[in-house]
Amino acid sequence: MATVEMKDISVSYGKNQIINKLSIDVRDGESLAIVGPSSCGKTSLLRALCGFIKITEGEISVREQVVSSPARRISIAPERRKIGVVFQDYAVWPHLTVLENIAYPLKKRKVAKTEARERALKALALVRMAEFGDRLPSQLSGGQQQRVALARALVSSTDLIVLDEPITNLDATLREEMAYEIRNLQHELGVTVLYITHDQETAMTISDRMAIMDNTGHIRQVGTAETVWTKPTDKYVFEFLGVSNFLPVEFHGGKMLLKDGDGFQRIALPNTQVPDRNDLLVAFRPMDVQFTSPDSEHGFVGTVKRVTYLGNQFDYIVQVADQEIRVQQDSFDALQHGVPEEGSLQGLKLVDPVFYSREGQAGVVV
Amino acid sequence: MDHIILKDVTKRFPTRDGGSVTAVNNINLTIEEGECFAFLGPSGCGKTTTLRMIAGFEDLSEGEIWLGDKPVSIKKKNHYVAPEHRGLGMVFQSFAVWPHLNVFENVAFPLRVKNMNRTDLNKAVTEALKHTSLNGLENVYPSDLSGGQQQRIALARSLVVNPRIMLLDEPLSNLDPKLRESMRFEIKQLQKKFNFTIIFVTHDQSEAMAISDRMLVMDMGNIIQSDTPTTLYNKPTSKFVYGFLGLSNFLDIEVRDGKAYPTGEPERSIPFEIPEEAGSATEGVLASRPNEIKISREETTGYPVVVEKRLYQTFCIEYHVRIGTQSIRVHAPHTNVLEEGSTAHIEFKNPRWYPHESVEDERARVERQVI
Amino acid sequence: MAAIKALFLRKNFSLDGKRIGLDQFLFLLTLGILLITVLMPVLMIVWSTFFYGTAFDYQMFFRVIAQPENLKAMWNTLVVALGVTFFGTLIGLFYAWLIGRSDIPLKGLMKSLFAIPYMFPPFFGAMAWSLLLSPRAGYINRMWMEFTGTRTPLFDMHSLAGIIFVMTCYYFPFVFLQVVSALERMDPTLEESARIAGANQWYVIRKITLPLVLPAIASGAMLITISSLSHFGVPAILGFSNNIFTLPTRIYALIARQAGSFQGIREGAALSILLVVVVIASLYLQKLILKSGHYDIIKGKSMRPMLIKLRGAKLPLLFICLASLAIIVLLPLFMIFAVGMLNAYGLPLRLENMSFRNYTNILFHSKMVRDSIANSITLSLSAGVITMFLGVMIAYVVIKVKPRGKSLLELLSLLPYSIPGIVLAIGVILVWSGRFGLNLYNTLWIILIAYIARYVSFAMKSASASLEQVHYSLEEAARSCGATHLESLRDITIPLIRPGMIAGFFLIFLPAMRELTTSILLYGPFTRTLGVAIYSINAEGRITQASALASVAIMIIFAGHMILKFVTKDRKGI
Repeated sequence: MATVEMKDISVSYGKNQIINKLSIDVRDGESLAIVGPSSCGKTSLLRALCGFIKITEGEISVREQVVSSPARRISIAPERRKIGVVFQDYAVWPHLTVLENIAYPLKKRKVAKTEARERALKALALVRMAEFGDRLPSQLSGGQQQRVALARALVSSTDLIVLDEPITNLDATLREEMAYEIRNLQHELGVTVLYITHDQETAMTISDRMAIMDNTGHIRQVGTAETVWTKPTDKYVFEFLGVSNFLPVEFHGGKMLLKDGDGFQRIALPNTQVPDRNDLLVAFRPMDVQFTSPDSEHGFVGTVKRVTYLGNQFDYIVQVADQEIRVQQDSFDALQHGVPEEGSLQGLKLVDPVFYSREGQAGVVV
Repeated sequence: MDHIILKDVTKRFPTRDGGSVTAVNNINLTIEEGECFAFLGPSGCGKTTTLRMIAGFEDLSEGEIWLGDKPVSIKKKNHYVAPEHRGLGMVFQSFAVWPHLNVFENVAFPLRVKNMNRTDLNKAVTEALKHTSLNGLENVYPSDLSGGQQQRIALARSLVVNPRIMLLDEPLSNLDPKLRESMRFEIKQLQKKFNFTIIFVTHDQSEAMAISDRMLVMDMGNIIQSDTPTTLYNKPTSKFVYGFLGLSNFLDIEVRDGKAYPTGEPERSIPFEIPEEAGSATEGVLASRPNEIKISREETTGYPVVVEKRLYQTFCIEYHVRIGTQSIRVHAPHTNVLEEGSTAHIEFKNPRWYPHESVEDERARVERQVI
Repeated sequence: MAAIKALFLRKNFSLDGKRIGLDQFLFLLTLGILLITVLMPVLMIVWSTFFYGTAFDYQMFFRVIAQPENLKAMWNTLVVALGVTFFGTLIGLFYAWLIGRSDIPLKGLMKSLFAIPYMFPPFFGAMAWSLLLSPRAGYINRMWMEFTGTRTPLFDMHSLAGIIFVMTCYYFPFVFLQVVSALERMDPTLEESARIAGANQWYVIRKITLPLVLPAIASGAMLITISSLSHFGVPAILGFSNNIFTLPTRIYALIARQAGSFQGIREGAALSILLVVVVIASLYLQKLILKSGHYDIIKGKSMRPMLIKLRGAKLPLLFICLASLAIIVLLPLFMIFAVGMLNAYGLPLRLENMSFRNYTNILFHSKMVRDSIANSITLSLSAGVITMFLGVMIAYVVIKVKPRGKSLLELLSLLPYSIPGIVLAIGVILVWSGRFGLNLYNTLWIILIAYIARYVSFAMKSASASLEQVHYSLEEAARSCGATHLESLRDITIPLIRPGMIAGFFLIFLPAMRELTTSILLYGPFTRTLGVAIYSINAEGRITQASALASVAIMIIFAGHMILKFVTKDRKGI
């Protein structure tokens, strides 16, 4: 059963179509992260769900009740949708105390004063802000304000909250901490969560499933973090998720060939069956390349152009044929096995690469 | 002779209530000619104040600063050379390009101040623009350029007079992560070409390690440790430096009969040799990096733990494991899958021992960051 | 069942529709009010200038303009405006640089002194300076003549130069405040990087600092120009006796001399058009200048700018600053209070010549004065409340509702800003003296309408500033918590802008309390305002009583400022 269903929805600002016939479901009790580059329309999607902007096509249902449907002339006011929202800028009301902020949704829903206070205090304790009830938001840090916003959302709706990742919150540790917390709360309370973010790491940490959105407002892939990371359906998803290497290759008689000037360099890759084609890209992550000796039977050779020490990692740029690739190595291992020097010729071995068609958006070729 | 010497440099700022706060406390430092030296530390640690004293924007409260064999600030003799006479190049976090001048005029400014003749000026500016890949943009105004290009203008502007010393004050912090990475490399390339000395101020530890030949870590106005990046990362002399340079676990331990026990764990000790400097301490902290812990299902020589949480991340799987009453993070390759709730065994590959940080120190640090 | 469900949903839809109705209602209401109070008077001025009855008549316009007295007034207006702009900008820049960039002490004290000219109407200053430097009776001139034995005064305040001097004293803070705030917001590394590039202090000021604050200088200077072009009080007090007229005083004289006859009003309207054209030309010029250089100089990292050490020049400069501020700001205030206590004008300023007789006379024995105080308080309170709410409604429509006619609404509410008060008064007379079936002449209502039109742009600007701070997500958060549109306005938006509304009220109440320019054309026998009362007592030559009443006004205004400061001190949140 799905808590939220969006069917073929479109959103436009003036003549500018932001979202075009997008469909996605949020299942009961799950945490779904929608992740995409900035201004890809993910915030518009959330605002359409909450009823702050109108959709021009399609249908949105919440708890199996249609809330937006231009075709059927249905548009339920935001206050009747019962969705807890955590806004990008927190939107904690500065003239109310923390406790008043959190009790507001209960006041609007005519909950008796003593009960409202009790529930608000409970929510406050859930986000570990119990001792801050009487403060004004201006006396809180950004992270604390976000907790207040979260508590207010949890009070506002017990079964569905949506969160728009704060843009101002650049502190990576704080973001990580919040992600863990939201994840814990979701497990504890069984509430359905829709999380909007541009950061794939947070999305992976926080979600049961994640949806990758591209900058034209289309969803490219939906799946668990593991599926999306290990089997990206197309080049876009692969590249979006992290630093990537793409090398143009051709297959002839089961052999993988990398174009090198006028000729080819063979990339030996055991146990890979790819039909003969001359329009492929081999894609792999910097961590999925290993250094071997230059005369090794597997893999290929390249010249190390640049070595950068980053503490936990060594980062290399390696010239392969007329292309440059990124290679990364755990520094603990690297220091034990010897760090390749700049200018040296090294053998390289690929671990679990994937293949995409060079043109268009075609998916994985096996 | 383009080295930089700081002798007993101290800077105190007056506070509102009439007292004073020591921003930089008795710093002694020599930066060698042609070196790329990074100042690393949390905000408010005094790194920027130190740089601004070298540039001449702040007076010294005590001490001396020498550029090469020329003294530029000597407090005792009240000797002070104005910033414009120190012959430095400097790049700021906010770029500080002048919005009312186009790219060419921005870069030409230092030469116009010197009244250089037109042909030499044109040549020098063109050269500087070429090195920063800004050629073709001479007549564009900074507001029409991206952050990266604006920072290149600032670089070109400081290169154009061919300074022997470059001061870079968080020059990359306002750029997006991809650009930040490539600009690091560009700066290194320029240094190789022109062979100037760099002081690079940053709060980002990977940036400092990536760019510098040597670096120092500052905290609360003091230099905590100063060395090459590899030594600093692998042999931090204090818990603070260890924690500041990368993801870390700090496990509280008790020492009994020369063996280390996780605090609150009576039975089983961690296979770890207590270093000599611990002396007769009965408790301390065992520091480890999440990626330097081996975790496996098999019972080897490892220490038994319970997997509390598994999080899939891009470069690894992160496990939160319970060890006694404490929890630490372990990074394992994607292939190493353990179930939540199961028992596993961990092995510290490169653990380090530190004494507990005193409560006062910790509080002082927090207060200072609030100011 | 499905039918019931559909009905239920339909009801929601229409509820949503009603919300748009509320927004639309606000839009039409504000548009209507502005059309009547702002646009109609302007149109009526144009109409009566070029039409006699319904017949087209352009000759009157050119005849009026070509009259030598009017040409002379035009010339004087330009001389005054340019003179005040020039000197005001120079003085403003000097102080701005000292306070923004040097290590001069007592900055806080000086900044609060600079705020004083803002509080009081310039015509009080004209009165005070006339007390000191009127050719024969002025205290300083008399001392000078006694001291030197000559019969020529040291300086005649009743001259163009005097007018320029007094107005400069009141208008230089426009440039000062603009430039100081630009200097304070400027990223200090912009100047530091020039130092590093080898430039010395003065080179940096010339090549970097000045060009970067040029837009601030230009906008302050233009504010001075526009204010002095339409200024009435100072030339009225200092100019009439020597037959020195500027356009605003000439318009007043034309109408007053003909005792409000229609022909007089028509001629005044014709001159008004001339004045408005000059003001609009200046505004256009301002826009051109500002467009050419709008730089982003806001600082990134917070850092104190490096202050320039004045060293040996510090004490002399501090002395010059404090002395000039004392002369410009404190001396006129002192004179008003001192002369207000004097038993007769011309007596030496000694304690034995002083008493509170003037105060008791005006406050307890003059019904006219008591009425004028009551009138001004009634008018200012009601204009403050009404205009503030009007401003909030307009700002809400413009910022949050954004209907298609938004720019028209914005234009109409900002239009009065460029219409001199005296011109607005003529327009209001033309509309409300019976032509459209409603004759409000000689009542307080006509003054109230004029005040609303005059101050609506202040109210709208102040309300916009606070409404823009209320991010739309704050209202949306309330909606998602179960509040209807109206409830979210009541619970969230209005409480959040309340401090802004109170400040907006005072922004209207305080200038309205001392208003002269508009009221002087609109008052009737029983509807004098405080400003008019002071002006006419002074014009009758009862100078000590005028001063006493002016000091009463100063105290009322000062109290108002204190309340405003108290109210805006601890704003919650935003």
